[in-house]
Amino acid sequence: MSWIHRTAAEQAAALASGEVTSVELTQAHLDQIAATDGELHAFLHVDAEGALAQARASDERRKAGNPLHELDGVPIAIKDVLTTEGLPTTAGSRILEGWIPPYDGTVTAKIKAAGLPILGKTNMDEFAMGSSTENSAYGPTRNPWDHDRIPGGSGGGSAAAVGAFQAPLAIGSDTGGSIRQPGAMTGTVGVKPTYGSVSRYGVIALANSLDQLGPCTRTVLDSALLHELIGGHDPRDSTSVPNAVTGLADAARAGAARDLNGLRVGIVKELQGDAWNADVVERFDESVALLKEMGADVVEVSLPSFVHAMAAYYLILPAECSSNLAKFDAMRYGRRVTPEGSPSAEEVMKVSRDAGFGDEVKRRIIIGTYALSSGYYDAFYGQAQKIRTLIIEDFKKAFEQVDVLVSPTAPSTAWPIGEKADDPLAMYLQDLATIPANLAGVPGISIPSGLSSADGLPTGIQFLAPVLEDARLYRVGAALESALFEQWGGQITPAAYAPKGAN
Amino acid sequence: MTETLIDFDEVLEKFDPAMGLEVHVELNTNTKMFCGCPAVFGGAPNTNVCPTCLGLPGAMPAVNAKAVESAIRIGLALNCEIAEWCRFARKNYFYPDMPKNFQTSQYDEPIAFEGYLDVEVEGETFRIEIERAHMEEDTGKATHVGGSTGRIQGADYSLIDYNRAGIPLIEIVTKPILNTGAKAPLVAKAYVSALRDLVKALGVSDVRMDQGSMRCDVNLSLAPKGSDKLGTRSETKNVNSLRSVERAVRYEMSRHAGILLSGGSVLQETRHFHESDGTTSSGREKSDAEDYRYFPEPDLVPVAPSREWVEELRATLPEPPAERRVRLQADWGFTDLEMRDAINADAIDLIEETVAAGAAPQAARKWWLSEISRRANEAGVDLVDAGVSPAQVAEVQKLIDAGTLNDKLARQVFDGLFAGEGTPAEIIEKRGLALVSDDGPLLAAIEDALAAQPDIAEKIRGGNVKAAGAIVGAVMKATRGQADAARVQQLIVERLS
Amino acid sequence: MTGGIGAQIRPTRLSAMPELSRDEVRHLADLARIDLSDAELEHLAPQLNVILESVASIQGVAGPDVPATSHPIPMTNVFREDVVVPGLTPQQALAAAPAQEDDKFSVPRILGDEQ
Ligand SMILES: [Zn+2]
Repeated sequence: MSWIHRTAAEQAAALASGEVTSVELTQAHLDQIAATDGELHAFLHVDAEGALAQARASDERRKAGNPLHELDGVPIAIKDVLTTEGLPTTAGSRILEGWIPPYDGTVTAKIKAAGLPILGKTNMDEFAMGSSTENSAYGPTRNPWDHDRIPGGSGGGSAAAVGAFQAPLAIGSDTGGSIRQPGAMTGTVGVKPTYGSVSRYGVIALANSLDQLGPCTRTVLDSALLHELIGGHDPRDSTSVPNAVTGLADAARAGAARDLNGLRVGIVKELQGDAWNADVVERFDESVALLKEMGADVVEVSLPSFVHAMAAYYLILPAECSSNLAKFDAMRYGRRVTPEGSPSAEEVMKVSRDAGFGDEVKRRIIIGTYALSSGYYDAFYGQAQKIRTLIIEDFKKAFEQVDVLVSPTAPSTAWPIGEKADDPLAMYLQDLATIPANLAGVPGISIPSGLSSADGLPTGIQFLAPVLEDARLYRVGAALESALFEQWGGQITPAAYAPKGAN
Repeated sequence: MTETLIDFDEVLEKFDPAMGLEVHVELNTNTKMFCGCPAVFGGAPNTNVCPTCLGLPGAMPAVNAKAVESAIRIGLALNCEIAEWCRFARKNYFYPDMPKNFQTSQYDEPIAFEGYLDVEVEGETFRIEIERAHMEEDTGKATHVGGSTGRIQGADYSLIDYNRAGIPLIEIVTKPILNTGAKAPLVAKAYVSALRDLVKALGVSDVRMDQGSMRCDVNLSLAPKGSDKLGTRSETKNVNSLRSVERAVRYEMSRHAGILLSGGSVLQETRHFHESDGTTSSGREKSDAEDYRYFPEPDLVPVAPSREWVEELRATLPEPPAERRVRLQADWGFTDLEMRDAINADAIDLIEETVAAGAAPQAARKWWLSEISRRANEAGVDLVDAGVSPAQVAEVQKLIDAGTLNDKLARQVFDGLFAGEGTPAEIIEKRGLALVSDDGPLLAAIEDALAAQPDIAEKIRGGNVKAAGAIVGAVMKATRGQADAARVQQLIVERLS
Repeated sequence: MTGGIGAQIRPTRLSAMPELSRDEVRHLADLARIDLSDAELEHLAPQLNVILESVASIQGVAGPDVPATSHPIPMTNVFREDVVVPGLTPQQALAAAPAQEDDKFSVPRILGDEQ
């Protein structure tokens, strides 16, 4: 098996034992990107030179016996929503085409400080608005399982890169499911940490009160390792929680022992029914059966306000984003489009924003402007913030009864590119199960639950835990993963990218 | 457009003015409101900027603790309630000098609210009610290029420096100020003046209206005499001196009356004040469509000052300026006129320090308001920056009291101080300025003078003591002014009696 | 923003089925500084109404006794010490400027007054 098909933990161990160098690992992933990304389009920018330079520095540190971190030398990809000094950062938008930030986001800085070579920036729906990565101004990313299908979104690039062995680790951002849903679509693992536990400094904000960076990997343990690396308090993010969430990798390792005795698992009543495809539910039920086999107590719990979560989300998010995106006005940075004649600053702003933003961005800005406008605030934005309170209360009550909640991650498997492109509502429905966690700030994980009996594409299962209890996700996720891997004989891999022969 | 202006007395016959004053105070914190850039405006353009105050994608704000503290202290000094819990809010509007195209401000949850400030005008006390004081950030500074005037209208393009963007501001808003009648312009001026003194005493701002660290917007409306219904208001922006505040109110009252008396209706609009002729001109019309879409700033958590903190800060409040003046005037024994001159010269603090350093109040007043004021004026600097410290003034006065210097020599010592020649003692030494205190040389000089002017000596012997002046003059000349004239006089009389 | 001044400033206008006209969409786009063409308006307005119709379902769900949540994790008083930290050089600040002059950002002529 080639190096790229190994997990990040295995790659780290091989670096530590001297079996491989970071330059070799990094080059292997760059080769995979070069061979596959023409078709896949998971990356918006590849920094081969920079990554190799960082790899060489990492190898020097190893040689000197001074690695910076357990993952020092393991390459990583970063969603284009996070600023990287000296590397283009566009958030998938035309309006930021060519923008090179003069500063690193906190998570970028942590990655650099730990010595992980940065392979490049991954594709995404424009400003993270979407569930398919089709809204990227630079063209869609394809699903490694079927190139005619979407990889999920908004972080389709990070999920596809990890799923296609272009990178063992990737950073995603999750505002309503943008890490977890692409994980489900591509047969990979994705985690949305507790709100405030990973710094948002340097994250091009979609909706500040919902956004959270998190890991995209192929295994639960790899996510835990990356999560511990990127988490922790940051004084530059005022919403950052005071203490780091810890014990994640330990929880993942413990979970792999498959003992869930005493764990109370709640199936969310409101995340069942006709909206959920039978093939997805089939795999979900099998996973729940495995949880029971491992000793978990599984009950059904009701979180009645979930029915309003989507509506609340699609008011809060547009409201916050309409304000966040105002800064893109072509005055200080970004693409300026100057109409004929001697236009005013106001006209240049309007024309530049019209040319620089895609349809979904415009739709959400206009809805958000409406929801905040005088006369409608209470009925829309104010009401949505109250629904948020109700959802938080629902979670609190549910977590008095159970330790974790469980649901399918998404209602369906990956759909053909273009199918929902002009039907925003159908697209929004994809996030039904993932949105409540963002509204309440609780952590969530999606892991593969198998392949659909209908179309052979991956399905995902999601666990949710109380605020700051991210470790629970790793324990139950690793247990289920271990049980499933045993059934499957290892992780599920798209045929076109499967390992060919031994290393 | 020429305005029909109505004579001020006629305005008052027919209308009651209502005023609202919005004052922005720029805090003198080390850093900006939401980032660690120096809160220093001026200097080379775009040197005090960072991702946050430039509004770069991904950057986030972090609240300056000192600015919150200053806001609470201002609130307390204005007798306000301090919010137990309040949030920042985004005020959304597009303008190129505002990096994020929203201003991080406060909306319906100000840090301080429901206060008052008493001001005195011609012996009458007016209580100005404060609606709120809230925290926000300043904008960048645009300069307009091209066109004829360098003004925004007709400019070809504009250049923006963001050094000022993000400097902490406290906006202090009054409730409608009613029932001031003919004194409206003076009340407005007195309020802004009192507010300036108060904030200055707190030490939280330079409050220099001429430099923009304190800016005033004047809202004015007229209601028909006796009516309790407020009229449509105009908002005159950036009225940047105390005198201008008074003039702007006066002008707007006359202008509104002109419109109303001719059957027109006042436009709700922004107006600009012109220092040159004391008039205002139309700016932007404030339409109802203007919609700032305020909502709580999601990147900042609520501010919830503990009551303990608020009380700690209350304990740090200085004596209110008005009370302090009453106390100092009594302590110093100044007349009303003397006190007013000292206040107008911004010399109260300096006199107080000089007195504390050992000088008599009248002596301190005399030096600061005459000699030092004159030199400060000549140099075009503030009194406090004139180059002399209260301790030095007190030292000079001590030397006068001890007979080492007279006023004339003291002025020469000041010359030396302004020239930076060292301490008063060093200057006296270097310039050889001390009075001759030994009688020996004086007696010799007296003998010489009497010998040179025997007729005068005769007159003195004959009982004409006034004639001694000529001998004193001669002695002073001989000692190059370094004699104590009174002592010389005494010695002459003793010598000839 | 619960109650308080905000409640008075913003009259509640409950409409069971909001419907945005082309003119209203154009007005909102103007507020948001987006120069929508007629074709875009034609395309987007119906989609916006579908979205609005679906989110309008929350109107009246939560009563006046339910507090609003603006921040998912309740925290207060997060402050920064008043200490200068290094920022950007003018070169870094201006590196991405579409136009600049004399170390300042150059922008087209500005309509209207400062706020
Ligand atoms: Zn700054």
